[in-house]
Amino acid sequence: MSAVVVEVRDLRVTYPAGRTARPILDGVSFALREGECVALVGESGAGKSTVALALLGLLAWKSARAEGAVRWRGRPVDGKAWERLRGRAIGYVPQEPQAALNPYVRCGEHVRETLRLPRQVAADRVAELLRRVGLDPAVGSSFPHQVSGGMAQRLLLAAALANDPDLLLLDEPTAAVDQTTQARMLALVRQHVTQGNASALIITHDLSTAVGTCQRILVLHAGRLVEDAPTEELLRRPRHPYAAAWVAATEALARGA
Amino acid sequence: MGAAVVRTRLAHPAAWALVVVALVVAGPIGLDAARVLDDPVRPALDRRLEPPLHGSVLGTDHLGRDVLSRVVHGTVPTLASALLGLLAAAILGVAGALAAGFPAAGRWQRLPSWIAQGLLAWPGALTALVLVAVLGRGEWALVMAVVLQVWPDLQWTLEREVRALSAQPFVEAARALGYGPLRILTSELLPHLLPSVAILTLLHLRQSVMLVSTLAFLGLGPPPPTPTWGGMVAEGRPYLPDAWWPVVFPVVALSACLWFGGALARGLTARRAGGGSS
Amino acid sequence: MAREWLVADGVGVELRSPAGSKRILHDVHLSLQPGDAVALVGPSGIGKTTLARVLLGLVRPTSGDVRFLGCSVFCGSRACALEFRRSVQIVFQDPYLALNPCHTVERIVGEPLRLHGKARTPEEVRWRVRRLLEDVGLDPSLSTRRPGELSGGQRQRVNLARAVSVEPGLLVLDEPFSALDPVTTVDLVGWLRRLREQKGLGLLLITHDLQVVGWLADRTVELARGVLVERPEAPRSTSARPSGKSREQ
Repeated sequence: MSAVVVEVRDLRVTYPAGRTARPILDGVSFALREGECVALVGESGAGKSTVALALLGLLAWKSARAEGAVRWRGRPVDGKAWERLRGRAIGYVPQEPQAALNPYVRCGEHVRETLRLPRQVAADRVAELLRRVGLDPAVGSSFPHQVSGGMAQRLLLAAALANDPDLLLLDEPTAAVDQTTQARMLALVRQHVTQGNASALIITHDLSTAVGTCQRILVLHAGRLVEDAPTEELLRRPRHPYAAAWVAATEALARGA
Repeated sequence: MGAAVVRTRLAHPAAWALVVVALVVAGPIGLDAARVLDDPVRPALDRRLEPPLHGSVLGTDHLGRDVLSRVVHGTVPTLASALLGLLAAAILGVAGALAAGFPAAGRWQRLPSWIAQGLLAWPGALTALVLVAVLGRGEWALVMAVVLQVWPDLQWTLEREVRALSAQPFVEAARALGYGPLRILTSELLPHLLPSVAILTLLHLRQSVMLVSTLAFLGLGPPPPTPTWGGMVAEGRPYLPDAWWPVVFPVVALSACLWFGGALARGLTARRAGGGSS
Repeated sequence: MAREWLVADGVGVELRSPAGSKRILHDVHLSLQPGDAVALVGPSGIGKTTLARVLLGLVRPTSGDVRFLGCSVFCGSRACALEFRRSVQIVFQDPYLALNPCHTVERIVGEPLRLHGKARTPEEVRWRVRRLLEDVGLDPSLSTRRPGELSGGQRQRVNLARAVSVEPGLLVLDEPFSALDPVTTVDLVGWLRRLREQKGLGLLLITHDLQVVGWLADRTVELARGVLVERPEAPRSTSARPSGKSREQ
């Protein structure tokens, strides 16, 4: 079996008092291995994005209380180490692409910033990355409000791929884009994962994303990981009631089309 | 975050403000009733410029009046005009910002915005001088001076905020449901504005107390013998080489007041920054 | 041809920015009758949401007009405007931003009821709100909560309850399911289908997700290069994954 990139053990996350007393994540454990695309599915509000935050080491930033361990390549990670990992070894495409881009910074600059290269050297590299995600390099000189949500999402994917990350985190990468673009983005992710010995965690609602791209599906329900199974097996024999409902619903949607 | 949060955020400053107002108003009345203080107005020429702790706690001024009594009684004319002016400025600012910042605002609704911009470019002290010339010396001129000093800032900041809020989908949803402009302003926009209003007003508390005292020092406040802190400093200034106490104690009161206003604003902004995540 | 109901007549929209103006809609013609179920598809960023906002009278087009029952929605009479606001409702894509975080669910759903005279006394409003919440599959006890305490799926249900509370003839749905999990999506699609069959609710479904189109729409129009093109084939056959180059950019 290939090496584990990141491992989450017994993660329990609570937001400070005043909100819900119930933890947003409770006893979540899983591991992501090299060459693996994993889908994380579940109801909105089940805590999917919180898992992404935990893998970015950003829970403290949201003033959440976290217990449990996150281990990067077998070693525990602390504050300084997270800073070195983010943007280099971990590429992240957040859920709301347009909100994630600083409106005063040109699109190309967002990609260049993650590259951490001087302007003159970076130009070619930025153009290449933009072309790779299917964007015209001219987009680099426009401001975020001038591009569509789908373009912003591809821009963020370009930024996430910039430093050849070991772990790609994608939060609803396909919610704002049409199917052609979806297929293209996911192909890129798959290619990066298989060629670069990386791992990807894709948070999604979309069955075709989960089935077409991911070998394994994690089902999160009310803060607990209720399923962690290979895609085929989950589709054939879902064990948890929510997982069963999820499989039934996604299949019904696929049939409806 | 909901109205509950807004309410808890406001709870503390509002309670504090009430305490301050209660102290300002009830303090002198209570002390008067208890006959602890001497008359702040009637001269006692046989007790001129007595140092502190020689008969009276904080000494007496050049007309023999008790400094402690005058500092306490000076609280109302000084703070009341500042607080009243702030309150009026806040109300005007909210109303003006809602009118001018609303997307469908017509030319007349933009009027407060233009006036505010004009005032921002106009020296505040000059405005105060003109006001005194028009209204005469007294509390109302001070109140108006505070309003004209503070309101343009509030108008400017809140207007921007109203504009940003109006672009929010929930405001658009209200428009799509057919809510009238007035209902959108009061029920969709206003609740989101209140925390900012509270913070901005408190931030301006320092500035307006300072302004009121400065104007009183320049002799533009209520006419003598009404005690004001600024006026006491002005009256005591010629005797400063011989007697420091008629000048220093009003300044101490003023500083304490400014510090308190600053602390309140700091506390509130810290609460807002800390509790702002959703 | 029946009497015209909601009509977009040659709508063009130009967005101005410091970098220059960009024409996103050119000459859009669309006529809708109450009860129509139309899907509006097209690649992301093509202007579907802008067209929806124009149809709702929230954005004034640069050229052309939107008419409801013959009078323009931008300068119609007061009575006509209120009837338009009741008859055409919208549910936005993002369930998190479309609800005022300061208000309770009861107020959010009850306010339009009061405004459009569907319920008058407070008891009547409370009763209708509870019924509406049950209809969209929410526990009526949630009516005292605020949006911040609800999950994304629950919020989108509140959005739908508010939109159908005034019994509109047309419900514009702007990517209503993109933020929802499949279980919630299937549930809400089923509910919308029932509403369509029982009450003749019209739908304008804006989406790039062709999966749900076949379930909810009778015909499909596509927005391409600023104009609407009627899609001749049944929506069912469009589900095949488009391949080749992206149309966008």
